[in-house]
Amino acid sequence: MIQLDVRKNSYYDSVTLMLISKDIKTMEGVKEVLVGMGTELNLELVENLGLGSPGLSDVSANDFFIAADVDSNEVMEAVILKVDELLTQKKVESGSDYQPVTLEAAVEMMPDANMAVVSIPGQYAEEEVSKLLDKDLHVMLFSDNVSVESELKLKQKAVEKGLLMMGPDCGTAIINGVPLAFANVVRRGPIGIVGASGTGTQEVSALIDKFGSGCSQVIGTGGRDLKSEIGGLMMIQGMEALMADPQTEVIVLISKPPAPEVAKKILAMTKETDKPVVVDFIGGDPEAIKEVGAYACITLEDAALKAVALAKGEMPTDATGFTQPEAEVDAMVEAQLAKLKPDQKVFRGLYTGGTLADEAMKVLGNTLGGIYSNIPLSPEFELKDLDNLTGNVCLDLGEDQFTVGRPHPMIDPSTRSDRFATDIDGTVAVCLVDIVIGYGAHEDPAAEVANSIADVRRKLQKEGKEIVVVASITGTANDPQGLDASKATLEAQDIIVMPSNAQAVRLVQRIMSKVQA
Amino acid sequence: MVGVRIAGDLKTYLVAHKGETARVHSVFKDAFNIIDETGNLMTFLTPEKTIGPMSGIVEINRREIKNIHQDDVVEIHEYGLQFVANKREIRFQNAEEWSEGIQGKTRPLDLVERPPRMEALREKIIEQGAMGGIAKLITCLDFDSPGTITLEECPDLNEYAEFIGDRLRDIIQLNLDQDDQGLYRLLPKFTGFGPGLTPSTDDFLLGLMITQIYDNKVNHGDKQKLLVHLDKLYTLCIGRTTKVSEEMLKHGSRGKVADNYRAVVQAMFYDVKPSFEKLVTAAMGTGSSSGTDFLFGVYCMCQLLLKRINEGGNAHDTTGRS
Repeated sequence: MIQLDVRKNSYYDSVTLMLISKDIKTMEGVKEVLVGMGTELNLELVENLGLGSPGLSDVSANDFFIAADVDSNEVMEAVILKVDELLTQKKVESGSDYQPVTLEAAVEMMPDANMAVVSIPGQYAEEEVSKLLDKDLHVMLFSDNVSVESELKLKQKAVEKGLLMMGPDCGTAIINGVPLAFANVVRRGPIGIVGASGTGTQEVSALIDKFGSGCSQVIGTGGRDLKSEIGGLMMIQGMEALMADPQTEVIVLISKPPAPEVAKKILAMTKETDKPVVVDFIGGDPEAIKEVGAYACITLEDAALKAVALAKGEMPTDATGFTQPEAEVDAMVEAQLAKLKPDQKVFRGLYTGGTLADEAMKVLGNTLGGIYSNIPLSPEFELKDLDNLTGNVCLDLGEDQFTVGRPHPMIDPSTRSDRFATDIDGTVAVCLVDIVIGYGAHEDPAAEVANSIADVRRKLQKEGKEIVVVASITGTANDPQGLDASKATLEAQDIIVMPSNAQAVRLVQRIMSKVQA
Repeated sequence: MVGVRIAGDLKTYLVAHKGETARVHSVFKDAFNIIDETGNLMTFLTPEKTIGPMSGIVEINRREIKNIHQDDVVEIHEYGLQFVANKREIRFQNAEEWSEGIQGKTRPLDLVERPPRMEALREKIIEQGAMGGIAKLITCLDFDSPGTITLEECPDLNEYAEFIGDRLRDIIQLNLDQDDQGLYRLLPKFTGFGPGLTPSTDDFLLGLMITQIYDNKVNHGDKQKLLVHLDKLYTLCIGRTTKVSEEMLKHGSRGKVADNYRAVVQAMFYDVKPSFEKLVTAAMGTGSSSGTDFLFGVYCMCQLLLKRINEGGNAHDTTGRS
């Protein structure tokens, strides 16, 4: 039945209207819906979609309307309630506790504060952060689009004053047990982390918690810190802090491969402390790390395991396999292979975490004959056309090309939901995904993935096909979304959940090597 | 409340209308609009937003905005506004003044320098644009056939793009042909369409307008004739779109547009220092899909201006328009 709800002279911003439209469309019992302002042409579209009704003639260009084809009056009532809820939610959000407009007012409001989280457009960050450092506040700079020159100036100033300037583009930190930005509920413990990669740091800290240990501090540096221009200023500052911190017994350093001279400087520092140092320069040269007496790692999981072993006073070993027994893994591989048709030959990795995607490609290496990506391991595998994928592909959906005009996919999973619909067809054998939970992340990313996979499977069923989906969850049992609940949601949709990204990738490698044999 | 930045036209307006009253038209989480008895709309924004014509940036937080309600009455003063009910004021005495007109003091681009920018703009729209409006149509428009713009088959369009595709092609073709009467006939069936407070076709039209104004400026065309034509286009939109969009088109028809939009169009015609990519990204950040739909309009107008030249016509004909 066609129903219409009109609100006279009501104005909502475009983003709100789009969010309402998106949410209503997914409600059960709603066959078709159009939400918008009642201009002549929008009303023409309403008619065109078969949503016309007599009340439309009273709608004017400045009225907000909801036209819907719904199963019953009750569904329409639910739609209206949902719209009200979304609009009220917006108002509540905008009417939250007093938020100081200026930095001066904020400092005045909380004179004892010793740290500030800055999330403003990048071009204004230098000035504001500089003021904060002048006030002797540590800074976590969440903003991106800050120039290298600004970053260097700010970090030099922080070093002079003995402060931390984490960032720019610093997505995660846990300071004195307080999670900042995207972070997991990790128990306190003896392991301190300095990380130049957001989801990589989250994966290691969450796994440390899973392996029964905990973190003293998790310090983010921002992704450019270990480049030549910055010289690792904040990793060094972070290391010094952890070296001096009595609560920290083991230090973990995480970064993509640094500039050689920076790596040399950082590794030289590891000799200055008696505390064991675990280093994961993801894909970097392990020999240089071992030469200085630090512990080199194969994967993020390996870094967490080694740190936990060292914290317990045990000798760490390389983690190269699976938590489950090999026979069980082999059986799992065979069971999955049986679902596939001969023309299903390729792999898709759809990641929300950039470092996790990077790790996946590095673990898979060249075993699949090369993986195309928007963050390729070498230039020849750069994806030119993101809308027409062929071959094996691994995407970092958090990169700029996917996030303009929409939030990061860890917050708004619709970016990945859209890609599931477009990127997975009957040629795909295996899909690999990450689920990042914790503070800052979407309220239930596992359900979003499970729903998308259900849609994909319905589509493939028409071709008589199945797909293998392998996932890992970056998170802890105490995260708001819950590790176990997220796992159960995924498994209910026949998604294989592995204990870490590294193990998920290894399983995919096993399956794909047989698929492509 | 302290106003920190004010558009020149709003400053002039306040002086001319002091002593009059107006009312709150609409309130959003980081902006509110005030409308006077004759329909002039003023926009007041939080410092995070980009200033545009008839607007001011105010040091105001979301909590304070929550206390502003639709239909609240305000008095207009030379210094700013005062809310009648609670006597709260917005004062712009020390605010920086922003010029809302077009700019272009750097070196104009040669004709050969423009196509790479146009291609970069197209790629950016396709790869990174918000496709909730009508911009996906950019992938199906073909400007290569002599004298004609064609709309190829286009898969995966949303309901808005699907519905408006043919009319949008016709709008571009009529612009190419400089068939003003045809354009005036079709425009009422084009304006006010799409999601959002400024419907997508209006964002697109704004892109067409501002691009023509810059082209006219760089080629020293007859500005007055062009402005008369654009005013006619705006007039045809009145009553067929939202009030906010009407005002946007009114300003656009006079060459007034927000900073982030202006910067991209300027970069299509002039050598500018900031990275083109960053300018486009900044413009795309407007609204939900408004920025992308605006850029789609800019791209189409640039294409047809170039097409006229390449096909032997004079882009800057006797109408003084381009």
